[in-house]
Amino acid sequence: MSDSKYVIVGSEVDQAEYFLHDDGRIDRDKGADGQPLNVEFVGKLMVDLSRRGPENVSEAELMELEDQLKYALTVQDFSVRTGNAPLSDSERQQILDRTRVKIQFEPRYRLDGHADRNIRLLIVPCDETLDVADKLIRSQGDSKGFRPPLSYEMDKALLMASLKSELVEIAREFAAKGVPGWTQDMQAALETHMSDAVDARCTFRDPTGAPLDDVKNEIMGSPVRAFHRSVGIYATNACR
Amino acid sequence: MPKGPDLHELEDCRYGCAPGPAPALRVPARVSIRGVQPNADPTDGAAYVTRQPPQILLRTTPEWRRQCLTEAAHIPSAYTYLGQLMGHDMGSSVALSSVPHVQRAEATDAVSILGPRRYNLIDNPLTLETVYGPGPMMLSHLYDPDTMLFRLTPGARLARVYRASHDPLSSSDDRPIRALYDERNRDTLMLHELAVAWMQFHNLCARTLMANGASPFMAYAMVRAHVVRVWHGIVRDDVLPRFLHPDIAAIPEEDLPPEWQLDETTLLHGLFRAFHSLPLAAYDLGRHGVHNLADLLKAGYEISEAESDWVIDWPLFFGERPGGPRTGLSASVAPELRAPVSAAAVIALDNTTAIDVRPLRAGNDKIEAAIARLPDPWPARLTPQAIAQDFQARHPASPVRVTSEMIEWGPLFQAVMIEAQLHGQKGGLGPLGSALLRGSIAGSINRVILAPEREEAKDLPRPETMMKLIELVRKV
Repeated sequence: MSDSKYVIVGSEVDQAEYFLHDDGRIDRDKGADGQPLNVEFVGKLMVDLSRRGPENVSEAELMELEDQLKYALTVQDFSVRTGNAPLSDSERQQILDRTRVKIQFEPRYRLDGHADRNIRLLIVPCDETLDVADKLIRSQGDSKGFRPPLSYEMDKALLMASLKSELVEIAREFAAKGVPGWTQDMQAALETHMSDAVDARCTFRDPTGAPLDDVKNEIMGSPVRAFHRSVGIYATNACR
Repeated sequence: MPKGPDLHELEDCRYGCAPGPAPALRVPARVSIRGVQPNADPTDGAAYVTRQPPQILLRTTPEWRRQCLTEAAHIPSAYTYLGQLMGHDMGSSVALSSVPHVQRAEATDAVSILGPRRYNLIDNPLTLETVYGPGPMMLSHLYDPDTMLFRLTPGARLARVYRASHDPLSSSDDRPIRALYDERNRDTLMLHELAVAWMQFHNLCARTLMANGASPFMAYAMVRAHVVRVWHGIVRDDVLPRFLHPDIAAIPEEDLPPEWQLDETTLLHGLFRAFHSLPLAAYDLGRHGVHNLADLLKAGYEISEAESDWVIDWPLFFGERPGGPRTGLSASVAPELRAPVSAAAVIALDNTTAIDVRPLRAGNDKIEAAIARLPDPWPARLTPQAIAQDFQARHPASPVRVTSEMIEWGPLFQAVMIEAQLHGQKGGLGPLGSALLRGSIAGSINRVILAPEREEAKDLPRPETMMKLIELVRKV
């Protein structure tokens, strides 16, 4: 196991493995009141802690939160990139069992008559994890465009939905090209297609193709929840 | 003296000729060679009934799909992809023009007028050529030449990726090379993992023999045959039972009539396309979440997000644990195969290929002969008129009005899908589709000649199901 390259990241919104219950219990059963421990949970917590500030969070509470956050993490290995064997479930579990989460407030000191003093914490990921991605990207050679490392299936859908009007506008610009034989009806059909196609790509589906009643579609329609998810991803996945 | 072209042979033409009036005329219910127009040119499409596009692919709706799946979704989704691997192992059909050195085989008879237009790159169907290719002597990127093992880490679930050096003075082509013989097997994450499981199984068996003193070549040769034996067992006892109608499954193998064996073209372009009804719009991967099919498809040469981040939960996919995705054959397809852009492309490609290769349709004599050999009461219940009437009676609100003409002269896969919707059990094919599938697969298996099993190979593992094979190779 010691040779495996892996990274410990926050669980995606639909891939939570543990749930926090109202009585403080954490288990794998969602039940009626289970709150999924995932990147959205992490992000929401970070937003809340940032609002309250370190002076309003006791040491004991922080320790409890750190313990909760541990269950919002998952182990992702680089086996596909390195050609190694993937970690087994028990290996992943052992890694998580021996993982400790530490939450730190970034200090900002406000001093009378002086500019603020800040300490920015830059986390250097362990075990060459950035090097793995760096090597992979270098080996791909030069090409235009780049998909940032922390963008997932959902980020693509969120971004595309937010760019919908611009994408339709690109199709609209085609009308001005004056292509012979191009009619108003064809232009309208093209714009409708662009709009429908973007909607289709931004909908998570059930096996029959109908919109799925799940957290990903909920987040697609809620900028605040999407923001919490993003904060959670950046807080936990920074080394990926 | 060589026999001249006999146009009457066109009645049996495996390229789907059903000579009849020119398309401008109304097509009679039953067309035969006797009605061929004297001036009809068999090469210009006028001599056979014009191909109709697959209406059920073009006009299906989300509501119809939902209704179809509610009835049919009994087959664990893993079999969609095991079936696809089987399809890839039956054929890789390319235009004959892309293989210019191949002679036209039937140069002297009527068929030569049409000419064979496709070439199957799989030389030996159902021997896992789709996984092995031409073997270790030819493919050093796939096999280690010293050990003759697939280049795989034990336990890895996906193929390795090799890249050219980043040295600017070396090759400018930076596209990765994947240690996978048939790139089609990277089509979806599911299929990719299945193909690699077979490679792992080969390595596991070969390592066992080499540990007992066999040379790499002897180990390769013995295991190559052993793996084909295991594959045939899995095809026969694990894959086919999921799709066969009980009346066809009950027939002893030695009693299967020869009429049920399809020619390769009709099998690949006629029957197998019925399996397009199996993919679901989205899959629940268990711990790795629910993902749209589009996100599980390969996207270019690079490692996809699906490959790097998600893992298939096979016990869930094979139905060993409850709650996994299930599917079934029906007269509908997933939206990804229907709309908007990819579907249009898939349908257009299928349609163009069908016009080009002319697989048999239900109205051709050979398929009618296959129907006649079905056990009673099926020959009477599967006439085009009976199918159309039954379908309209049972599904009056379906988006497509099924006609007997559509059954006869639409694509065979459409007829098979409609038949499955009517008479399939637990998501399987109807009697005709089952008979053609079973007859053709049995025919292909019987054509495979393997060297007798050697003593050293007798103790190698023989998983009876794909799930057991995956468990075996993942234990390492």
